Amino acid sequence: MNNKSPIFTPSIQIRLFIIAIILFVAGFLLGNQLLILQAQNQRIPDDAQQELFVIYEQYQYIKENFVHQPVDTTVLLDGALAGMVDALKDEYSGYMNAESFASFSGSFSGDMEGIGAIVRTDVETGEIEIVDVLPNGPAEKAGVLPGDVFISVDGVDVRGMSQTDLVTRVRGRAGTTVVIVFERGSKQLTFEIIRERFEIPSVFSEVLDGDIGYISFYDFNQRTRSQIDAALQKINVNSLKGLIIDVRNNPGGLLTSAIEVGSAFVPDGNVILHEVFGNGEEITFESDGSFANITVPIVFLVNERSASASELVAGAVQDYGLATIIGEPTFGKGTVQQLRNLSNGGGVRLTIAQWLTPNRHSIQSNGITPDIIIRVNNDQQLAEMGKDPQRDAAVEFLLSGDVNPAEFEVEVTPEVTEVP
Amino acid sequence: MRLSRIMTVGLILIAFSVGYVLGTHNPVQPAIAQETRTSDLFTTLFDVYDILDAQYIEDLDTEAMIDGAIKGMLEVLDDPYTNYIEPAYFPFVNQNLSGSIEGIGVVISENSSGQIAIMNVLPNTPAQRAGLQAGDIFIRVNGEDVTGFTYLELSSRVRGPAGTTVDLEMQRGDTILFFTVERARIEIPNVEYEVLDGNIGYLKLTQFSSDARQKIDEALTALNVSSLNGLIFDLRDNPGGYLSAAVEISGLFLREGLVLVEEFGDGTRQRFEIRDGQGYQILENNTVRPYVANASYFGANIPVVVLVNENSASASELVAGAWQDNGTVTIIGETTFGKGTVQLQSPLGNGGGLRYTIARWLTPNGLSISNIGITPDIEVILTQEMQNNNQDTQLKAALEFLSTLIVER
Repeated sequence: MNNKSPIFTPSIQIRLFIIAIILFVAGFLLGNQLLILQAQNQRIPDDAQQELFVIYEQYQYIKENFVHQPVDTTVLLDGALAGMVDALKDEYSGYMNAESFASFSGSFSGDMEGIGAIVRTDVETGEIEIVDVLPNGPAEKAGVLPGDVFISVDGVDVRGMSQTDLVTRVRGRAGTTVVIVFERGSKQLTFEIIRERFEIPSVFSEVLDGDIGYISFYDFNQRTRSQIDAALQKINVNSLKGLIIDVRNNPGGLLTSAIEVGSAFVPDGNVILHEVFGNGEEITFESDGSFANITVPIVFLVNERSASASELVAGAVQDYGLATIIGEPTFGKGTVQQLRNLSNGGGVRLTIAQWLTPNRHSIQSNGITPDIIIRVNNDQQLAEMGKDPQRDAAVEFLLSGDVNPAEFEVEVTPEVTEVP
Repeated sequence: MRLSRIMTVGLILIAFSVGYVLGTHNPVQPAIAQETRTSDLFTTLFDVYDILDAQYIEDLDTEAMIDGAIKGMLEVLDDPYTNYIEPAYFPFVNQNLSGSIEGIGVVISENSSGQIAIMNVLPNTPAQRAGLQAGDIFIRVNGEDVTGFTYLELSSRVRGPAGTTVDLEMQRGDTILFFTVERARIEIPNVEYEVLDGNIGYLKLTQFSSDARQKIDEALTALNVSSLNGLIFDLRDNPGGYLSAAVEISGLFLREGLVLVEEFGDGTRQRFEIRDGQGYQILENNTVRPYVANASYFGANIPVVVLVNENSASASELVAGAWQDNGTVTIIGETTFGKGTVQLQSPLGNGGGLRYTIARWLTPNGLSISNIGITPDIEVILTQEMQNNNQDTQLKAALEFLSTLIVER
């Protein structure tokens, strides 16, 4: 998968000779217990690693001579690693030091300690905002709302901070308190939130008026599919008139979970997505044989905060005409990140591929365009008023087979709202 | 193929073993634990590079990765004076301080909208002959769009060997003008001097370049300094320069004694002293090393005022501090910038450079001026508004102060 062309391609004999010399040196240094740069010497060298030597050169200058001694070398290398990965200029790739990585890797397990909120970074402004709050979670109980923008956490200004760093600050032991200042509209609001331990209740279900089933989920984690199956059983889906799958505000999650969830709607053996790597290699994922056999019409609700795995599943059912997509054009996050743990306890999250829908539609460039577009301009305020025009439109569509978007597109004039 | 693999393995094992044995028999000190950790740290770095190289969805720009790592490493130090200089700009960063450069002869600055404009055109230079004017904004250099460039990026494009030409596209008002300018060696005028009313000499040093002391000596000779009633030595807006130049210049008004103390990260100190018109470096263990030869005393028995302001930094503060602690001059103006650290510049293997803070310096009285600055003996404020009205309250105060002394004498 290495697309770089080497600067020179020495003959095999010269390579052998070089390797021998390098290993001689490595052996010599090992013998001396002087492991100056083990990695440099013990590996089969390539041109790039020789180029990287300049980083070590600088490291030595700083370590030996910087005015503030002693220099914390772990922090220096954390800085170098972050700087290197940041130089990709890819918002989804990032380096996490040991501390951040420990916190980050806990986030897909299905339970955690924190405030019970889902966040995302606005690509254009760099602001980190609440996408959703979990029912009965600490954030919801405190009055935090989707759309609230993080200003500070425990007195530390978090504007411009990476999402990973922010999440590390917000999470913490159950029973401890975190003070968060959010911006909502033109106001700044301060919340004191007591953290709790909770199983991420990824899936929420109910039967709406008119015998329409409704299932929403907040992310794609290891338990999402089994919770969807439980919900389908609970509402006895095939006895109803229709089903709404709500992935609005769902930022995605694990690819495996997306395949599992997609397989509920896409009949066995059909393509759910294509994963295309940097070198052109491709993996095709098919429905895994766990088709849920839903016989009633299905609507997927999406919005501009539906991203990644949400778009994959919505894209697949749209390509096959298995469901009607209603809502707003989706976020457009169709790249695949791989999480690798590193020898220093940290981790690197790296964009390695992009996703295409079964019909080879690029999610990254276009997102998913709904079959029926219904925009709402202030869903935060609508939610406070207990209104959900997009969901109402989905119900109308399932009951009558048609819907007039104009009847459901709502403009709400922002007004000052007080939060206790 | 199989044979060659076996031979490879054999050769590798032999080379490694011989090296290992030789290594164990070599009486080199065992490394401290820190060294082993360094190798672990770099293992992670190489691992990450390999992962990026093998798996990132786009092709990797190795140079950008290296620059990113280097900058990221420096960022955590949180020191504004520790910087990485990219290979393309490294040749230019110290040219100013060498006293001359090869270029076209303009002083540039970034204007408020982030454009780089000509601040002034030096006399008798290619730029002046070509008709460039102060206020002209750089649009293209040799066809390359330079809008949004940094100062260093632009310099690296405009400068070049004497005798070569550079094509410039400049904006003047609403018109775009084209110039082809032949580069030449440009002397940077570091010293300005004149005789003011009351037979007071005035000498301004704009930076501590390597030739600064020599230029000052020439100016003092031209001013016929012993015939004067007083001297004003202007260090305002002087951002500093070489430490060696500062020690040479401190000798002007400091016959004998301590100029500064450098304190390194490991706690060791070294002193710089003037003895018999020469500068010496005295190490922690009291080893004395000659440092600079030309640090001779000014010689004339006339009163001296040194002017400083908030833009007098680094070497300017160092000499002002040495003179103030030794009581030979009167310092007038505003509290100085407060940059009390020393940087070293090391070239890196990739052609770039590292400028990094290696020490704090202390005045002879043992004080650090970091973030404090040097407080003048007589404080005189000069606001932007006064400057706009061509008023120089500080120079006026210096002249008044000197004329009072003359009357008293």
